[in-house]
Amino acid sequence: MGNNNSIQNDDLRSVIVKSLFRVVVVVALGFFGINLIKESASDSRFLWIGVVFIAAAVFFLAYSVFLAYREYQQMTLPKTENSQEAEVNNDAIKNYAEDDIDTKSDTDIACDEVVALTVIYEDYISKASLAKEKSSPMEGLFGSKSSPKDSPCHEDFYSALKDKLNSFVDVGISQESAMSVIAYIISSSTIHRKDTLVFPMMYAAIGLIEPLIDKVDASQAMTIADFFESNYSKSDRLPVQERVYKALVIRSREET
Amino acid sequence: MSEKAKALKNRNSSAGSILKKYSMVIALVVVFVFFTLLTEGRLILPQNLSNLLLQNAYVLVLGCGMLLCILTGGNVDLSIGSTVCLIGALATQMLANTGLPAILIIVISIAIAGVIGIAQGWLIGYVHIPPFICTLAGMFLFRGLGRVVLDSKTIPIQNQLYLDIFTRYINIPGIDTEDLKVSAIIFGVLAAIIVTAGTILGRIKKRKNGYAMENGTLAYIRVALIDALIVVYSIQLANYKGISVMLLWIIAVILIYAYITSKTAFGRTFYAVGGNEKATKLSGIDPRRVYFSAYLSMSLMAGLSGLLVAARIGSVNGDSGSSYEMDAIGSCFIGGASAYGGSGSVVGIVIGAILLGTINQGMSIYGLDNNWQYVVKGVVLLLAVVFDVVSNHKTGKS
Repeated sequence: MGNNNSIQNDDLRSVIVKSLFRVVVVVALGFFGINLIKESASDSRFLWIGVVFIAAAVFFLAYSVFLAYREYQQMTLPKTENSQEAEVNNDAIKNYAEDDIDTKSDTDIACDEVVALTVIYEDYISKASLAKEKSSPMEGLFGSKSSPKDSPCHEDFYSALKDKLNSFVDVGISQESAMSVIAYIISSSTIHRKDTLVFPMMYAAIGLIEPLIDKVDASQAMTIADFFESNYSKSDRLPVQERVYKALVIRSREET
Repeated sequence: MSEKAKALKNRNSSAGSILKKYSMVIALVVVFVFFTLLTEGRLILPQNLSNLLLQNAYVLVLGCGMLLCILTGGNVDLSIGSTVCLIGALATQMLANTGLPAILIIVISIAIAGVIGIAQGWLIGYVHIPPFICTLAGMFLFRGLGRVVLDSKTIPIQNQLYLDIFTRYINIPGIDTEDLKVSAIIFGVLAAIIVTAGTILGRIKKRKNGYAMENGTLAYIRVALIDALIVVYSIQLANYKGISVMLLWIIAVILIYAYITSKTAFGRTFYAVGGNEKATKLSGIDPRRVYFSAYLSMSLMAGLSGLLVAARIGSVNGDSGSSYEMDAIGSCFIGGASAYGGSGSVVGIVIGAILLGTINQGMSIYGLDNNWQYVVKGVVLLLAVVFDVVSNHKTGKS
């Protein structure tokens, strides 16, 4: 409830700031326009420039009123039950992602599938660290090749993960396990986001969860989609991740 | 570890990360104060402050283009100084001999720069010629062509419209007077409002989406400082000749590149290729297209710089644009772009370029020999790259 109030306050503040900003722009355009028209007696060119400024001010004013009305309408719309439920679920997966995977005990980890993935991820991280340690500081500098970024461990990780996920699908993975696997893969990339050596391949690996999306139900898909959206904005998503996100959104709408 | 020790460690590490994050800003402030004291305040005279940005317009414009190349893996473009010369030479010759309208000449010149970018981008992206070799060849090729076009002479620019498009000072009748250009102050206040509104809205949006946010007090202190700087700078400009059109060109380029690199998926692809090319491919991006785009954008910016520099100096000769590539590369590395690729920002480049400009101008006003300026610039650049290499090797993160 408190969270909802805070969001509503944020919305109101956002509308106020935007409206004030628009008023300043309209006043500035009008101010310049009027002054230019006043000076048109000395040079007729100023008349037309002034008229353009005034026209822009009028147009922007009308547009601002329209936007303010639309924002106010959106702000006063009641929240749907689904979105409230999604918020709760989102907190759950966030907690999953915020804890370091290494600190989880075996009982915390939902299934054998995730245990198998943990082995692949830990192996990758240790091999990447080793490649980094073995490299000299000059490797990879100014576009030179043979840096830790070019180590085969990155592709090995991707292939191993791909094979493992395919085997899960072939055998027939349960709904809960599919959810855990997807959550593990997405949250692992989030946890290692600042590690520029392993993050890119972990992020690319998100594309491998596509065959598992059909295995989760609509509310689970919504939970994952919300988590994904709150961690990776639209500009962060490369084509594969965008495709996965869209597939999750479509799945989340299928049964609701 | 006790709770108290953990809290202390967290506080130290957050103080350390803030210091690291703002190290270039701190360096800029220190250098600025140092040269202000050394020159007995002459550095902050309105005319010198106005010139600080205008003389470094080419560094800011070229630096934005160079950032995209560096992001793709620490690659650089060595040909841009020569491209500046060639485009400037073509524009001045067209202005002097063809009778075409200035605006058409500007469009043609930028289009020729685009053709250069397409050629280099194709060679680097699709033929896989190493960027260093390709652009080194371009450096000789375009410099030679520029001198051929100029016939080894210095060609002055006499077309007033062309000069106005790049160098005129904004003077709004009824608002600006001979002594005070009020339009500059209005512009500064508007810019400050935009920065403040942008920060507030950005924080609201982040909180709404549940994204991580920096400390609110710190963010608002930073905005207050930036606003104060903008307003003080605009007052200084108002006391000189007002806002130059060239400043608007610079701001436009900076805003476009800042938007592309931080707010678009297209911009993200440059960081991705610099992070890991194979992973980028698996994420659905064609790295060849990314290299192509980076070098195309770089040449377009070199073309624009050629036009800006020609207008500012008022003439072009065979040495125009010499070592400009080094200034652009320097501003990127000083501004925090990683020589390994995948890391860097437009804001960093602006800080790096202003830092280099302050050093140049401060030494000029102080009366130090021009040769020493190269020595100091070299040392600053070396320090920036060594800092990048050491911090990267120490942490494994760029």
